[in-house]
Amino acid sequence: MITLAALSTRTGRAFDDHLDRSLTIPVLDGIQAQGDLLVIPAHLLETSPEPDAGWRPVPPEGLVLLDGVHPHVLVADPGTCLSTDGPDGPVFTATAPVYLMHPEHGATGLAPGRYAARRQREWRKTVPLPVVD
Amino acid sequence: MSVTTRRDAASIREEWLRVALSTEPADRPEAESAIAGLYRLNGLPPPRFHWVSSPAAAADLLRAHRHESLTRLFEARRQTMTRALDSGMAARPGRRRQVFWQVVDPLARSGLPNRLVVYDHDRAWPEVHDVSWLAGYDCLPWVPGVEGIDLWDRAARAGGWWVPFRQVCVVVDRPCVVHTQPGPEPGVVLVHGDDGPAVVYRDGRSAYAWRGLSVPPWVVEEPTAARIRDESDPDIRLAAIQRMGWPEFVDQTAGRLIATAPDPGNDAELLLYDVMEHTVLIVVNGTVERDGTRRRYGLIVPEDVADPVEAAAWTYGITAPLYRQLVRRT
Repeated sequence: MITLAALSTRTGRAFDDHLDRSLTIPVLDGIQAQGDLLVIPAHLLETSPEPDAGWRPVPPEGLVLLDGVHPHVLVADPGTCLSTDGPDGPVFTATAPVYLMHPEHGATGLAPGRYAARRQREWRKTVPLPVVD
Repeated sequence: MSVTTRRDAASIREEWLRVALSTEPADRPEAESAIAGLYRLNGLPPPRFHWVSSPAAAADLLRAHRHESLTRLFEARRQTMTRALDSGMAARPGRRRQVFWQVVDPLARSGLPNRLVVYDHDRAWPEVHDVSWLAGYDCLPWVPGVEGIDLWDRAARAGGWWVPFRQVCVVVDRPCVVHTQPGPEPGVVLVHGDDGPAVVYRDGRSAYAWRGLSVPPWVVEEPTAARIRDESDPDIRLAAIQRMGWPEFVDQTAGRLIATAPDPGNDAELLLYDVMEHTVLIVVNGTVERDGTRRRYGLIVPEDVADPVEAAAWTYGITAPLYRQLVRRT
């Protein structure tokens, strides 16, 4: 069980100070959204992303999955999570619970498994544009 | 021969981004020396330099001298130079493509402060102040016997937006404030002022920009539904709506509600509206703000979407049945 306070200490990254730092972060195994980022368990996708190479361990300070005005950071215990670039965004595989943190949106926990991350976009007459959150 | 690695390319791109976003006063002697060198390459004696603090302060001077403008001469010479560089370059096409995608393209797509300078006398001239082409050549090998690139490089690094005339060269000092936000793709930066000018010049004059687009002050300072309806440019209209916020704009203009649905994994409703020329999904953040409220925001979705859940699913590139399985939104 882990709290916002514990995640902050581990990564050196801050949350907005109005968020309750003592609440336990739930660990779930379904689809979750954090603002403009969506994480989907890979088994739910029709075509499971099969990145062939470039798996890297998630570093102790966390990995920025999606950067914008504020970053979405993936945090994992050493040796429990590998990530790479998939066809539609980052893909990561965790053997223990991992956490997604964002200064404004707080944090959420992901049960072990393989996930694909997708960035939110907006419609434009010409090309869809990603959202910058 | 050295090879430009990905990291080198990224650091060169960052370096030119710093040049383009710099708020340091221009290095006047260095800029004058480099520009005088470009005059010399065009067979001209050094000009008198007239420095001003903002593009607006330069407007009268530019009008007064417009008949002796040398922009076309300088631009033609620059194009001869870039052709000579391109044909004499000992770089493989693969390497040039790499430089284009990693350095030139992100900088060219960035909305940088020089884009806010309005110069109507010669529409091709502002392009020379775009640092992307200089950054590109910075990553590629030196070409013997081609003069000028070092002078353009020095003039850009020393700072100042300039226009050459026969007797005088008008140079605008750098702005003292520049606000930006990250662009939609990696390496792209957009000049953007959330609640005030995006750029302030050294004489206090300013310019407004919204996500890289030059906008009139009202868009940022006092966007109203009436003004937005009267605006003929769709990009400016959209910028003003984004500044006001879609929920506020929909409330004020009584946009047509297409449908509502509970937002899966979030204790809130999804609302789909038809507003002006857009189909807009109004969503509610999963997390509370500092003041205890939850922020609402709007996302434009494809026109043929009629179901709010399908609209929300589209924004993440997944299907509606999959989006309905969302367990938690923060």
